[in-house]
Amino acid sequence: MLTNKVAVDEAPVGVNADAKPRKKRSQMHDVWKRFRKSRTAMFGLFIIIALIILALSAEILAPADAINPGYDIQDLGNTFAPPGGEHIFGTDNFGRDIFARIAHGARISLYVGFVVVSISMVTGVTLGALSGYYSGIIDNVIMRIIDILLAIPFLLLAVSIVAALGPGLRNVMIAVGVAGIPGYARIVRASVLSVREQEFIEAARSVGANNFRIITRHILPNCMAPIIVQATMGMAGAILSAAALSFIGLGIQPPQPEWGAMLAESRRFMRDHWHMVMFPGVAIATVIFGLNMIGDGLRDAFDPRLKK
Amino acid sequence: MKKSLIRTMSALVVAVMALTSCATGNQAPADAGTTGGNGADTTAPADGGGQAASDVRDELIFLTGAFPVTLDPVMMNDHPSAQIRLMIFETLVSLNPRTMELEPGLAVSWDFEDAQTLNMELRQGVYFSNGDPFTADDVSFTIERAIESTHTRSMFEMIEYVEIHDDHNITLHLSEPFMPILHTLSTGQLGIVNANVARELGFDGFHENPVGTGRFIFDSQVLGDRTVVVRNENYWGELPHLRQITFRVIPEQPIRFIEVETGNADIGFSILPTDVQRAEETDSVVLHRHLNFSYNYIGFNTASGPLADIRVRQAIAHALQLQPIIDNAFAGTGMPGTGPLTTLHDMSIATEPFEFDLDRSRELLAEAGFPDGLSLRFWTNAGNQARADVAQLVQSQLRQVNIDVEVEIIEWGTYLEATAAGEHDMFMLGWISQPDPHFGVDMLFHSRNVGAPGNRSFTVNAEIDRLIEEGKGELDPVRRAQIYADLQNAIREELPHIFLHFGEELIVTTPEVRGFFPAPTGSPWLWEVYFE
Amino acid sequence: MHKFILKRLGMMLPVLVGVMFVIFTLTYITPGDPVMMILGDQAAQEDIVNLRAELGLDQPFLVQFGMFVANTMQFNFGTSFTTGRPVLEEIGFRFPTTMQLAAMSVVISVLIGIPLGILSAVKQYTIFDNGATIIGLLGVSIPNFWLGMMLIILFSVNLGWFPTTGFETPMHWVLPSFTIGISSAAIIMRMTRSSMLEVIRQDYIRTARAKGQKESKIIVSHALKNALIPVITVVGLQFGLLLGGAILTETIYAIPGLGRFMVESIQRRDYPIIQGGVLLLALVFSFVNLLVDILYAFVDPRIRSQYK
Repeated sequence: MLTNKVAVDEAPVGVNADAKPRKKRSQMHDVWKRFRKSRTAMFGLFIIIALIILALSAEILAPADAINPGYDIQDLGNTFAPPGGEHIFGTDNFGRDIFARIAHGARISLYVGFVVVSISMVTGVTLGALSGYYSGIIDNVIMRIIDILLAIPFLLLAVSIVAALGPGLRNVMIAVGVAGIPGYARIVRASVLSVREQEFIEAARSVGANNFRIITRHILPNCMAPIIVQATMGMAGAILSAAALSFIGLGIQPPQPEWGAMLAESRRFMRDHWHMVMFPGVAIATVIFGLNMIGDGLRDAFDPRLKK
Repeated sequence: MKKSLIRTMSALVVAVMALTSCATGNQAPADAGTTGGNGADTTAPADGGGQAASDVRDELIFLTGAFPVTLDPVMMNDHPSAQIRLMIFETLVSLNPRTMELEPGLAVSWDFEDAQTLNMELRQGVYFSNGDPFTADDVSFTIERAIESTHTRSMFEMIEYVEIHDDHNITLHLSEPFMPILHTLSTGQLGIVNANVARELGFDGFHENPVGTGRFIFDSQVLGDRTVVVRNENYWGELPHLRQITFRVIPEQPIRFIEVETGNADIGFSILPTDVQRAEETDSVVLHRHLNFSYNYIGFNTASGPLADIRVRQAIAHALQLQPIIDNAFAGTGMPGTGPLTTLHDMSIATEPFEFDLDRSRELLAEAGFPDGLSLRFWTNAGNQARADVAQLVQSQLRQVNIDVEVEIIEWGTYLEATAAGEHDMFMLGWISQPDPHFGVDMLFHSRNVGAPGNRSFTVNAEIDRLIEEGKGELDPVRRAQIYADLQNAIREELPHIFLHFGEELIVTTPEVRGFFPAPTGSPWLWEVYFE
Repeated sequence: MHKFILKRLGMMLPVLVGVMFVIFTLTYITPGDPVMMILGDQAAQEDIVNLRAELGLDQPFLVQFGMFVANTMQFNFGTSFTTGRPVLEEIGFRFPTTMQLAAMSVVISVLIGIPLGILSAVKQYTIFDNGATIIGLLGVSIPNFWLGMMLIILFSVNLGWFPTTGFETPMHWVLPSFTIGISSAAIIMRMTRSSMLEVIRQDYIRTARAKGQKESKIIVSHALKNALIPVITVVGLQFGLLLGGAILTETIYAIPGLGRFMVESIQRRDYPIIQGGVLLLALVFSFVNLLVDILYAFVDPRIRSQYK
């Protein structure tokens, strides 16, 4: 029994101590009502929806030509064009339209963020729930595994995993995803611990619900708040991690316009062609900003006591 | 509220960008006194005449990209190690980087008794930095040691034995006629080591106490950061101008540039090609450039996969335009390759280029059984942006003939193993050669060296093998030149590589640095450098 | 208390063995032959076979792992494959540099993060709060290497305030510590804020207010102490992130630390260095978090009681 740590990280803001097994819909409805009231959270939601629309319409905004994909139409006669005119974000070192790459990159970056978070979340939540619910030896083993993952510096772990598995989008996502597991596991475990002994769980047990049902139907829904918050933050972290791997040269493979990779590749032009680093940088900042705003809003919305 | 959020955010971003992008680069160099190394601040050396110019700087800071792996000449041969070893050790024969001529080093004269026997007279009155006299025993030991080391064995094993006549006369006996032997003797790996010390310390310890006869003496190292050498006051020849050289590690190329630009260092080795223009426009740096011996190529796997068919290789050669690739990926530095040997090799010829002809390319593909195009993997290693750029340019160009190139940037260790094992289709590597043409072709194209040693295109061609063997044993320079011309044409016919690019040294110094020459070998003679 | 510390120490052991297992497995399955790296490209096959036998690399996986564990138990970490120097010398030299960098970053992130977080909480939903949130989010969303380059161009090149590279004087440490510390500062700030908000609403604060105590006194003497508990935990966890962040920062500022060296060693397949280095970093991380737990148990008696 040691990891109260994270319980205190997140639980006070997330887990509602007097939570009752309410009707799901009405709970979500309440959350949404409170969420909607927060202007910053709605602004974050607006940003993310706009980015999703951008990602979905990339093929229309920046269509492929006869032989080239829309994000890799090179024009070596028009490199480093400043923003404005035909290329609103300018062109890069291959004369590619930066806006086209940002738009297509939204797709990859959001995809990377989503998949990475899914990997970390599904694994982390499962491990955390098992650990918290069963305690004893299972808890001990799982938490030691989590400690192991935590103790290896994340970037070193990711570099080793990419070195071992080979390059490519899939392996980068696995590497970053694995490194994100501990966060979810610890949060969920802490939440489960605080919910486990409550009356409504007792009640469920007494009417003969099995463990699986108790975990999935009663316990996890009550841990949703910190999980969602962690997930929104995690997507931001995933995009940054992909950028860091690209800095070392082990990120997404070219010519895929992943934002982090664009930023890492263009750092050599930072002093001469500022627009090349600015737009991917702003894109990353925007998505992270939006996700964090949503995360904040959700956190507040899940916890009515925090409201004025 | 929403609007103000956006406004604040964009204002912040713009402010940061504006502050950072208006880099004028005219920051006055920090005052020379404080930057001249941070070792003991002793003034002019004790001996060497009374008129020691006290206000002339004699300490140099040289920036490289990596920490030298070892200062033992017969171990790893990475660039930083080679640059520092050149200061500490001397070779029998010395290659002058300005003239590309071989000059007497620790050997004052030599003559070929025949193509397998070389008599050499060694310099007298030379002492190692520990005071031991330099004798024939050191030469013999150094060569034996180099053959013993697995890193260098294959380079030197043609030296059968060293016959010692007296302390200063020796004969090298070669196992086969080997004309490049003088160039071999000039390579840094045959820097003459002190036999007593090296015997005692062995391969494990000598790197910590590297005793040579060179103009500088190993002084100290800060692991991962710097190596300091100081002038050898007892050097047999003319003393260098500099009293101390500090080799500092700055991994990022743009940062090396900045350090020289702001006067915190004197010489920045190997800047990015994309910084050349900035270097030319910046007053506080001087750009030194010179074609060098690096040959960058796109290799094909000639042993398996679709590229085993020469028509597919030809199709690719006909579909690529090299000049735009050079202009973009290398920012126009260096020159497009004309064959497997860089123009600095005296027996280099310009082979017939493959004409840019997309129709011909499509035809060849159709003949090879790929009328609808094909898909190929192009591998390159992580951490080399120019290669990644080349890969993307090639990918874009080959779309014209419906070749779908999948670029994969692979971590270095994996890359070396995978290309040595022949798991690739196309790949990109560089080869840094030496003046004798043998060194430009043997490792890359001889079937004996397939895989890890260097022939990663898996070229197996009897004609090429035969010409390489003939070339290295031919005494007559005219006939030798003919053999190498034939060889280069044969390689062009076999087409294991796209001869992409001949590289260029791009080195920046502060304006105060004088006497610096960007050696094409990659290891400049820093003892020629002085300050104004 | 002793029992608690002993128990926590005891739990570190399986974690460290687990770290060894993970990193050993990763190096084992990673392609790239260390023997080739040691002997060079030109090595003859028999030399390769001999050396492989000498190093035990031809043994089965479990035997190799057993040898590694046995050697580690005797503090025998071997010598670097590439430089031939003892691992302890190579790592031991670089380690303090990285630790210093990480420690200074922690200091910076705490100095920035906690006061800003408190102010944000006290002045919730004011312009100050929103501004701090935005700056904080920008701090989280800027990749390390990008910020590093920006700071160099701005403060070293244009303004000339700080040296660009190196690590000799305190001035050298400013930019690198900021580069790493900023993103942690943002996280700590946000954690402090929500933790403070949580505490401020507790009954005893209300009681204090009702008793007419000065607001500043309430914040400092009542709220802060309790609010900082989770913050301490986050700082401990951040330490691991900082060690990872050091990798990129050390590269940009040319600091000869352990992070950069580890990545170089992964590329060179220098197994003894990788294994020794990761183990050391894991050990440090575990110790820091042990300290955090002790500190934590000290502050909060409820946790201590669990170990009685």
